[in-house]
Amino acid sequence: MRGLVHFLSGLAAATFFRGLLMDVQRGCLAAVIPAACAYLPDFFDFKFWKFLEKWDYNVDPAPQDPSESKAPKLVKIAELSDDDRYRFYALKGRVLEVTDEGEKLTFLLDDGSGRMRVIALKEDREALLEALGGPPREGDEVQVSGYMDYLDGEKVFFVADAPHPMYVAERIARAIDDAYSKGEVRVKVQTIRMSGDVYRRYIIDLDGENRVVRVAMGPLVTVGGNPLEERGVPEYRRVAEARTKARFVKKYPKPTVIEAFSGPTIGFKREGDVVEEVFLPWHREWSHSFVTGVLVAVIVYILGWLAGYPNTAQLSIASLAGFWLHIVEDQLGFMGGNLFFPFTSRRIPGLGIAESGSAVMNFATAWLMISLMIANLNRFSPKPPIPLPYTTLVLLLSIPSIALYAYAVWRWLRERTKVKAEEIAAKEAMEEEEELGGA
Amino acid sequence: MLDPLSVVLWALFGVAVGLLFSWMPGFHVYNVIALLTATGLTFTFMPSDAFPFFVLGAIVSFAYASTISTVYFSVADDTMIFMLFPTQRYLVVGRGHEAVLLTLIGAFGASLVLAASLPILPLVLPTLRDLLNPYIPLFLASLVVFMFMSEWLKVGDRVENPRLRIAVAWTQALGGIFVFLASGVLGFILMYTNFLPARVAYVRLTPMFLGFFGLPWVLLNILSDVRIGEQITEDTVATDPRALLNGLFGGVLGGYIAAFFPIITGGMGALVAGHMTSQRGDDTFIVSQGANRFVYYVGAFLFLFLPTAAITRGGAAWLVSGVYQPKTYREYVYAAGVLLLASGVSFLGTLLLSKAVARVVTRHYKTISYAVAGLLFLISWALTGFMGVVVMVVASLIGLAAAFFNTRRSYCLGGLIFPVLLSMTGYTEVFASLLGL
Repeated sequence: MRGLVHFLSGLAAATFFRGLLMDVQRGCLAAVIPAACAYLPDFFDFKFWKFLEKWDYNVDPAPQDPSESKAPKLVKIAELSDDDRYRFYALKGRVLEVTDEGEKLTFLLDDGSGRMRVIALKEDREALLEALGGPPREGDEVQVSGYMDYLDGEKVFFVADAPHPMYVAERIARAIDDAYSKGEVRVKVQTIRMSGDVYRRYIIDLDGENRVVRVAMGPLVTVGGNPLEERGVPEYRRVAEARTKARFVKKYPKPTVIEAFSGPTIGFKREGDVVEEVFLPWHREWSHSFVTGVLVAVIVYILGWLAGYPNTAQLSIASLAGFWLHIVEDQLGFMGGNLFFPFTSRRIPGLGIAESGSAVMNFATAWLMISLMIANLNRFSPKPPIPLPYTTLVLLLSIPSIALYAYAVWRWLRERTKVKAEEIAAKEAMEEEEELGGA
Repeated sequence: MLDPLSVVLWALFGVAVGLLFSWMPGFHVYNVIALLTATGLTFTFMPSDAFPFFVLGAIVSFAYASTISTVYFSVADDTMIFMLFPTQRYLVVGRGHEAVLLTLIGAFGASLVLAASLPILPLVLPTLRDLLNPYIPLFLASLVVFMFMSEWLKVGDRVENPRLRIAVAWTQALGGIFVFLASGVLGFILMYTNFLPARVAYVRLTPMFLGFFGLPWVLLNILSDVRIGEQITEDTVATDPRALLNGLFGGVLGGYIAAFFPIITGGMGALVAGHMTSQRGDDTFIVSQGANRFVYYVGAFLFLFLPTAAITRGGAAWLVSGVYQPKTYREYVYAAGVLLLASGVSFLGTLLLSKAVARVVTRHYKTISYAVAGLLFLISWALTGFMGVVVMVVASLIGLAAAFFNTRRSYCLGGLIFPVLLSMTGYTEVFASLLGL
């Protein structure tokens, strides 16, 4: 669920306590605390835990220019090492020895630190010619972006508008194999921020069945995720696959999409003879536990008591309710949480009714909380402005929420049936194919 | 009682005034109305019962035409600030006019929703007001706490060392708190002292807001030497009905929240509604901004026309209520008609303005940025004198701090929220003595 929905849940929890509401009218805003507590699980994760984790691999396919905070970073030819293979960089230098063979443009670039052959193929050649206003001539000063690769053992620079997906695929595959031998590794996958505050989308698909890490380079997208180009990168550098030695299994049921904001961390943990993927290992662990909620409520109680606040017990219970509501709401999604940390060590998967960003579920829950707040404020008013009994008012106000929940559940059941049917159909098709092949 | 033709004519006059001024950066229709009121110009040639309709027309056109300055004059370089607004991104890639059109679609949709909701507002709003009024400080404080807690820490994500990473990330969060408190202290001083003379009381916050939200971005444009490419001025948008509806719904919801609750601005309402409806996508966001802005400004003013209970929200409503208070259902119906008429005229007027500005802005962006900076100083000086200019400069430094720390610009609203919260909770005197005032 979105942050505000959790926050509203805590605020709604506070409105169940007359003492807290009376205090608001006296100028004491302690009722904000349960709302803050309801947001606290994500606050712990996104403001602290996320930043404190240690990465074993920092997969950055397009390092940013430090002065401009965007890719590609301008580097010297002499700086490009084997580790930089496939990464997205920019080179600037003087053009020498130009050869144009129609679909392949080649020239030598000298940037003072060294020389490197630059190759532009097909669409990349066209884009380069357009950017330079024609074919480069010997002696021209040019800046080109792309990635370093090897051709017949020689380091060459391919003109491109994105890194090669193999950079990511190889490192993820290596991390999985590492996790098998070491027990656990964490991989930070960075975003690709380009000029104009747009991002290059890429997708990581972990195909455990075939022991393949597949990475696809996508189009440029806005921060909001809207694609800015129809075709994306040329086909010859769109998809890359790397094989793993170790067996692995993907837990989160969707490919990982990296686009704007912050790139995710992916954990790989050996469980028996298999490496398991733990998506965002810093998220929804100890912070999303009912036990942590109790601890938070106790701290609220102690602080309230020390401050001499008269309604400390109410405040503490409302804070506990807010915290727990957050955990319950998150369980409606896919990822789930480690509900009983420290007694359990793994996340319990969510019901998967809808994604955490689902507009339907978010609005339904927010509306339900607002309905409860209105009903509670009405109930505790000296002269209730709405002349209806509490239960009737709650039921009336929450009709939109009930309808939206019903819709979400119906869609969930339908999707589950559909997925199951598709799975069965695919299995049947495979069996038929094997049967035919066997014949 | 005015006849319908007079209502239409005065409203259209308001639309014309709004369109004339609102596209210019720094001009707020409330200030124009305040100036007209203060100078007595309105009363010499306008009947007092026509004033609300004139203002309604002006506010409707402001809600549309101010899009021009938002889209075309608030560009900042993507190397100087961490994240551009969607409208800024559209402009950078030559689609500024499309961003304007998306905003206008949102505003027009909102005008239809607002007009359709007018029959039920007299039933719902007075009850909600009675119910929620005692708890407004709680909602305000909650919103502030939520803004702080939910801010996405953008920087530090690439730093290898965890300790350094968290330190870098938290400079943004702490910077946000600094911006809020600094704005709050400035707002407090302006509201509770005679730093600006009493004769300019009706516009005393104007230089502060020009400093928070106007001047820093113009300065950033000048400093970054940003170049704006050729703009496409075709009347087409790349979106889909689902995105439009999502944006419209979220925008209207946020607008109503901002219009109904005092102090809560359109941006804060949009934040709340954006989370509630889980908005995603630049087109959705821009449409929602248009809808949000419309309902926030126009809806708030329309509450003044509610026959069952006039709810005075926003600077314009306070100014008008001092001159004439609409009371009848007939005036309420007239207002609904004016809303739709002014909305249609403003839509077309803003579209034409956008095309004209799009052609000029690409060629003379740097010159325009200097001109806008000069204009902001001029407005500040004309309205509030030398001390007003001082206030604007101080506020600009706070606004620039928001950009420097990559934090939310809306924290500058602390200039309004902080003193009001202190007042609502009875801590004004305590804080004043803390400052030695």
